[in-house]
Amino acid sequence: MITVLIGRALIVIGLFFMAAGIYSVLRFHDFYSRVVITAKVDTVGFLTLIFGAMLIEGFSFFTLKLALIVVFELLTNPISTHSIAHSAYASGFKIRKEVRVD
Amino acid sequence: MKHLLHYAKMMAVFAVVWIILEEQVSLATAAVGALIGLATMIATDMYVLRGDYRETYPFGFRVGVKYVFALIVQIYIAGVQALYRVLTGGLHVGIVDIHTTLENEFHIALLANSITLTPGTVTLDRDGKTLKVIWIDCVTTDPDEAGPLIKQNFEQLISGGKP
Amino acid sequence: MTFYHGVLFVLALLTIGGIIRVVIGPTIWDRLLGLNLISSKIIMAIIVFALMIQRTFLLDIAIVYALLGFIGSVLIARFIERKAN
Repeated sequence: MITVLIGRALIVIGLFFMAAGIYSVLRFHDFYSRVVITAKVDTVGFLTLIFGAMLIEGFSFFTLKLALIVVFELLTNPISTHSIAHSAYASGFKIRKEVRVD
Repeated sequence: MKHLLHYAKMMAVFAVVWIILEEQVSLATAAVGALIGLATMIATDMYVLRGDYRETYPFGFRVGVKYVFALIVQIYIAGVQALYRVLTGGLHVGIVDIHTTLENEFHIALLANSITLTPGTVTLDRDGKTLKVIWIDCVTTDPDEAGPLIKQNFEQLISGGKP
Repeated sequence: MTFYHGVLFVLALLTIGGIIRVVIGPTIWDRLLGLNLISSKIIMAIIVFALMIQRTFLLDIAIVYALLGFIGSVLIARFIERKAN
C-alpha cells in the first residue's frame, strides 16, 4: 500500500518536471537554450515517471519491460537531441543574445 | 577463443532481453533469443562494421552497470539545476571546445552521450579528439579549464577504471 | 475519475503545449524539437494507460514507438542539414 502511494507521488513529480520542460520550450527565445534545457528536464521527468510506475507494479515482467525502456531511452534520447543540435549548428545557426531583451 | 567467449556473453544478454520481451521463462525461449542474437551479430560483422565486433564495442557488463547508475545520479543533478535555471531565467549560453584522452570511437560516442545528459551541456560536433559543446553557464572558453568541469569523472568510468 | 485519468489529462495538456511550439516555431529545428517532446509525451501516456488497465502488451507498443520516433527525428535532422532555414 505504501509503495503505491510513493509511486503515485513519483508520477506527480515526473509530471511536474515535464511541465517545466514544456514551459521552457515555450518561454526561451534562443534555440540553443531551448535544446539544452529541454533535453535534460524532459529526461528527468521521463525517468521519474517510469520509476513511479515500477514501484507501483512491484517485481514482474511489467517492471522488466519498463527497465528495458529506461535503458533504451538513456541510449537514444541524447543521440536525437545531439542530431537536432548538430543539424542546426552545421546549417549556420548562431547564438542569439536576445535572451535578455530588457 | 576470446572471440567465442565474447560472443557467448553477448548471446546471454540477448537471451535475457528476448525472455523479457516474450514474457515466459523457458529453455526454448532462451535458445531462440540466443540464436537470434548470434544471427544479428554475424550479420552486423559481415555487412555493417568495418572492423571486428569485439574491437568495435569493447564494453564490459560490470562497467556498463556502474556507468548507468552514475549516469542516473548525474541526470537528476542536471535536472534539478536546469529546473532552477528555468524558474530564475539566468542563462549565459556559449560554445566551447574540449579535448578528450579516450582512444576508442565507441568510448568517445559514449562520452558525448554522457555530456549531453549531464548538467547544462549538449555536444554539438566532433573533430578527432576535440568535442564542441554548448554550455549553458559559460564561465570560460579555454579548452583546458572547461574540460574537467564538463567531463567530470566519466572518462575513468567509461574506460573501466584506468585513467 | 481516478488518479490515472488525471495523469492522462495532464499529459494531454502538455502535448498541446508541444503542438503550440511545433505550429509557431520560427525555424524547422524548433519544430523538430517540439516533435521530439510530443513523442516522449505519447510514450508516457501509453505507459500510464498500460498501468491503468494492467496489460503488458501495450509496453511493446511503447518500445516500438520509441524506436520509430528516434529513427524519425535522426533521419529528419540529417536530411535538413545544410539545406533548410
